Amino acid sequence: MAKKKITVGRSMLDTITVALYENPIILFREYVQNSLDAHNRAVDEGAQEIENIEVTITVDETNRTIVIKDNGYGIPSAASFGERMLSIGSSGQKADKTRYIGFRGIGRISGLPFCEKLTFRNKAANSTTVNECSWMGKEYRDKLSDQGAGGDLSTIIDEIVTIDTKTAEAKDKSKHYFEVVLEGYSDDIQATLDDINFKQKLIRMLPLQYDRGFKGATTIMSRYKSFMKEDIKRFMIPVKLDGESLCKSYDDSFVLDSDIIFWEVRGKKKKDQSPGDKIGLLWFTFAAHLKDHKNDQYYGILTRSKNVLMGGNDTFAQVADSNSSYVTTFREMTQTLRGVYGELLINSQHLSDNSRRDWFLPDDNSRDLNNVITEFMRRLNKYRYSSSRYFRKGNPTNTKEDLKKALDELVDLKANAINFDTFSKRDQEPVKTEPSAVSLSDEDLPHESKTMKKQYDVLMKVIEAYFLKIKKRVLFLELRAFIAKHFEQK
Amino acid sequence: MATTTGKKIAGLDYDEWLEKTGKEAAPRIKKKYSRSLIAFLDVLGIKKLISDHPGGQEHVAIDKIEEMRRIVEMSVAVLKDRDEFYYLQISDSFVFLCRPTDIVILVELLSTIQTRIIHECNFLLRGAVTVGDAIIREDGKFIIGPAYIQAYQLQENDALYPRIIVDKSAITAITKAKMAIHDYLKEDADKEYFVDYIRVYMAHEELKPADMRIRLKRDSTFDYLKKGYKEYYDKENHNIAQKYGWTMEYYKGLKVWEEE
Repeated sequence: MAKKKITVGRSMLDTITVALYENPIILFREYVQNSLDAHNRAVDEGAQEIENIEVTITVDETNRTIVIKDNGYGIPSAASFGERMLSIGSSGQKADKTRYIGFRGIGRISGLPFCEKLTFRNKAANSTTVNECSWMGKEYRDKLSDQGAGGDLSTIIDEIVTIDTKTAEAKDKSKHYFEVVLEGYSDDIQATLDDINFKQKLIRMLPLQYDRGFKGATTIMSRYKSFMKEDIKRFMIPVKLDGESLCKSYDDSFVLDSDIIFWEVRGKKKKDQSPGDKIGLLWFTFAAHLKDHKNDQYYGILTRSKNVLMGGNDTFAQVADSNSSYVTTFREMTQTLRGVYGELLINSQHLSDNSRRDWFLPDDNSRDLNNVITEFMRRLNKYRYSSSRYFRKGNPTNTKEDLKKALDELVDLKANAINFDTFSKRDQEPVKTEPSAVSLSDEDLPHESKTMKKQYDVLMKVIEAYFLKIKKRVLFLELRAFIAKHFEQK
Repeated sequence: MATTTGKKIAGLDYDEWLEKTGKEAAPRIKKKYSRSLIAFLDVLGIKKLISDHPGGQEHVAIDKIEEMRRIVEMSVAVLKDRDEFYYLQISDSFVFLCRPTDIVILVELLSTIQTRIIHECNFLLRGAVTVGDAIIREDGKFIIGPAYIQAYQLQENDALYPRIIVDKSAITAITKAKMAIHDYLKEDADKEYFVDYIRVYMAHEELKPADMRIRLKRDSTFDYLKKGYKEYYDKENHNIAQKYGWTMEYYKGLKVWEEE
């Protein structure tokens, strides 16, 4: 049988990057995690851990240039540099997804839609050369908009990418680094940088260390190690933004009345009644009388997969809201989360991050996780109500036992194990994985009202049909990205 | 279900912990008024607008009210990042709340809103400004207190004409801000001070009376006022006619009325 020739169209690159990286802040996450993964991979392969490993992010707004540079080992040879820089969708990393954050090999080009020129510069220790690979973003977009131009993806990459080797200065021989340079960055990036919350958003998103002033960090890390049998430090890297060290913003003032409570999170028991697979460690802290903490970007439980943020502050509420087993209003749940701080630190070989990295691919394992989160929200909400009745009414005795029971369910998971059988029949069935099962509004406007989401879904279906008809799906994705960004900024 | 006896949280057993945190929580939930500057604005003629556009035509009334809301929102937008500045729309009324030290900013804002709503939407406004005790919760969605009631009652009972009256407490706030009262307020025949909105607006926009006159002419404001006055005068509804008449006299006093 003759071998079939598969042609990958030239707009595929744009389709992938625009769909996955519609918000430019994501590119910082991609490049920082690439640096962390590269260092971990080198150490796994026998290199010594670099004690002062760090990533520096430098922004030059005058020349519209961003440099993201690490002092890791770099890629050892020009040949492997070229090979790696030109591969798309092949991360070259080992299959064990619990060891490395990135796994698709697409994040490297996440900066391409947002700059005129994207350059990777590599210097291995004791090498006399510096390897450079440049992707011409503007040229690529010009070619895409040229309706008459032909060629497939590999042809166009050949036209827009250059690889070069330069001689390193003699004094730099011992230096080793890998840097990403975005030149002529777009207005989208400028708007991201101009956001007064940019630094805080970056801090929440990146795989950072805890602040040294946060005494609870030692307890969290040691509990994580004892349960997950790995050091979470593996997924932490020091990052500097324009010279300023970035750390997770928790400090001791974040530790509320309850002190730090832990849930060792597992999936449901196996058929032989042995414990379910480990999912991660949840730590949280709350005030006895749950209430808002104003001007606070850290409220709620932040879910992190290998220490990288998944979703946002209200993700727990969104997960519980989508679970048919527990019915209360979304607003109730988001308000409840306003009285809590915490993180769910996940690392599971049974869970796969979705491509946008805002949650996990739907399957039996992620359903277990969703059920745990739903149960947590149910218990938290129950505590909130009981405590409100107790504290507001001057501590009446008749409500105290209810409150103690709600408190116990919330803080002592061992004594109050989750009964997965209580979740509804519907949630026991495998989750459908068709793309249509995920609504556009949940992805694009996760925080808007249900009415608005419903209208958005109806309208976007029509708009999508139009763009598909005129064969401009990329434009549709760009439109969605623009809308999502607008609502996020709002 | 596990028993809770003897269990600990934050190093204390549950009963001790609830007792300790309960004592700490008590003072925190005590709510207090704070000294605030409040303005209450009421758009006149909305009842008529709605009754003139019954079912099937209601979009005309809704569009008009939304147009006014947009004007208010645009005017307020420049102040949205200001600490302790809140505004709230309740049907055809608008409430503004801020610190007493922001009196001048508030008067400028009210002047812009009143001017634009008359000129662009052809609706008259009435209101009052006062300083007193109030409490704001839920980012301004809930405002209550004696000052709010005072502002509402002044507007309802004392404003009488399409003017935003300013009571003594708010006048004192202007004096404390070391600003000249007559740059912002005007004393009426009944001794009430009201926001001299056209003067403040002209100063803010750096317009001369002649420029303002052109704008008013362009926006058909003269026609709107004259038509309203005549319509209600002919119907012998002097209560409403005098509202248009008062506004015309106010414009004449500022020399921005059309040349006869």
